[in-house]
Amino acid sequence: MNNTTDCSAFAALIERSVKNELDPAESDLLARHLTTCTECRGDAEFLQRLTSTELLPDPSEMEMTRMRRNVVAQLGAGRKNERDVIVWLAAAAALALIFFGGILIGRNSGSPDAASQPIVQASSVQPAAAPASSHDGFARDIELVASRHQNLEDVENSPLAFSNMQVSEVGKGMVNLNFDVSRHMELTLPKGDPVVAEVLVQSLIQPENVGTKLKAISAAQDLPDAKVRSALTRTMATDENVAVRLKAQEKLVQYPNTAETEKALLDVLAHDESIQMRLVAIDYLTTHKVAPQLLRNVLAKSDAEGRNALYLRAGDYIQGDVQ
Amino acid sequence: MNDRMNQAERVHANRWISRASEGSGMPMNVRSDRELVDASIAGDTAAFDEMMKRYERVVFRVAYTFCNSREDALDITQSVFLKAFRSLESFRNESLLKTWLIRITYNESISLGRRSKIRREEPIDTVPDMLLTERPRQEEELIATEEARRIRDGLEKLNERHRLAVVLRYMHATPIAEIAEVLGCSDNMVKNILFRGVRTLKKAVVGDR
Repeated sequence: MNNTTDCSAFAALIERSVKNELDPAESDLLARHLTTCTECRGDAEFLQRLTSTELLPDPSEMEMTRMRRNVVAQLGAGRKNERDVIVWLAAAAALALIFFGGILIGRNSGSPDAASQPIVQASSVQPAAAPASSHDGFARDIELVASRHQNLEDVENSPLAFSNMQVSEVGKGMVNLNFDVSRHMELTLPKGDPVVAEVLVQSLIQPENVGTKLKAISAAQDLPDAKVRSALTRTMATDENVAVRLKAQEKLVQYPNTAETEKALLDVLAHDESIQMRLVAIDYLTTHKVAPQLLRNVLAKSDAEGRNALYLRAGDYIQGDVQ
Repeated sequence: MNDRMNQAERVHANRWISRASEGSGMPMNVRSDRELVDASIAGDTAAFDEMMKRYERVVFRVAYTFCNSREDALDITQSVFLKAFRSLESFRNESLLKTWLIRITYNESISLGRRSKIRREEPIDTVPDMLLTERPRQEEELIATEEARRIRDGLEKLNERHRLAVVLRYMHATPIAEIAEVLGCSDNMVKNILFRGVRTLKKAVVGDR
């Protein structure tokens, strides 16, 4: 068994010995320790086995070629969507130009030389109608794309992927957004704005940090948007961090009841490792009168840990049905 | 943006011209990761193709660690590169491209794992219990030896972070510092994770002998 020696120090040497990274003195020191410590000797032998065993398969060249081809094809499709947006925007801009040009011509029609004034001068009104900043035009592009996204899948396939997102509520129903999308954007918008929903959803489905996700969920409180709701549901079911899952659940249960929410909460009850989340789920499901038989089935199949607490919480609701 | 896309279209025809740097005969003009990222952002699809070739194996194998399915690992690999491309502009030199991709792979794998767990186990009333625990046999057959199977089973007993650290270190010879970057912790924490991970794994694999 172990000597009094600190084996954790030798663990580092064992680890490096597997990679042949020890100098002769270290090698000698380790060898002496291994003759007296069965635990470390076992570790060393096991590490050798671990590194010499082929555990993971390699992909074939054909599989990887196909994968790369699919990626490039999908990226091409994404670019086509971007081009479609640009064409649409260009058409809209042209219409706006004609419209404002028409107004200008109309206003000037009383002047004697109005007829001879070229339409192209209509562009002289552009500065007044132009964006206040160079970002505004791009912000409108983003708004256009965001407003077209009806569900989670639309957002996942968005040609505009945001990153480094920060969401903060600034009061009076407004939200401040900071994010990068080929350039840095900072916008303050009403909670109901489609761009706010877009950023909230992207911050939940992208690998953002926990703080960002928690703030996004907070800001989602008054937004019963379908895609936000779906993003919250997925976050509750799949996020790695329990605080994020719990926060998503707290928001979801505030929304009016739907079949999707019930189903998601049944999944939480059956599978989530957090007892707290399972308790919230059972409170919600009993309050909303989910069939007691279904609850009993789920509880019977749920993870054993904490199951007694769940039975206790569900107590009268599922017992009453039995009698 | 139009300029970028025109450029992309120009290079499109050459996208399958391999500039890969694999193997010992690396060409003199191998591009760095940063160069590949910049070129990809500028619309050079061949650069992104080269980037995929450089890292597809590690992405696939890390994904496989979590899903135990060749098909799912391929799907995850594809999804990782799509997400990576769409977020390339947010990639800065603060981390290595490799660790950035591994982090995306880890998140994607965990996400898929949770989703598929839910898919497998619903509807709760109708799926027979046997199906819930059955593992993909054809994938297991790819893992040739009994030894490998035992270790793989042991790996599943590790939590996800420990599993990732052990696989990166002992199956990909990844330096401690890079693992620390992937996991977002210190080098010492990684060493601690590896120590505990290997002990747990050893106990699972040889503990009953």
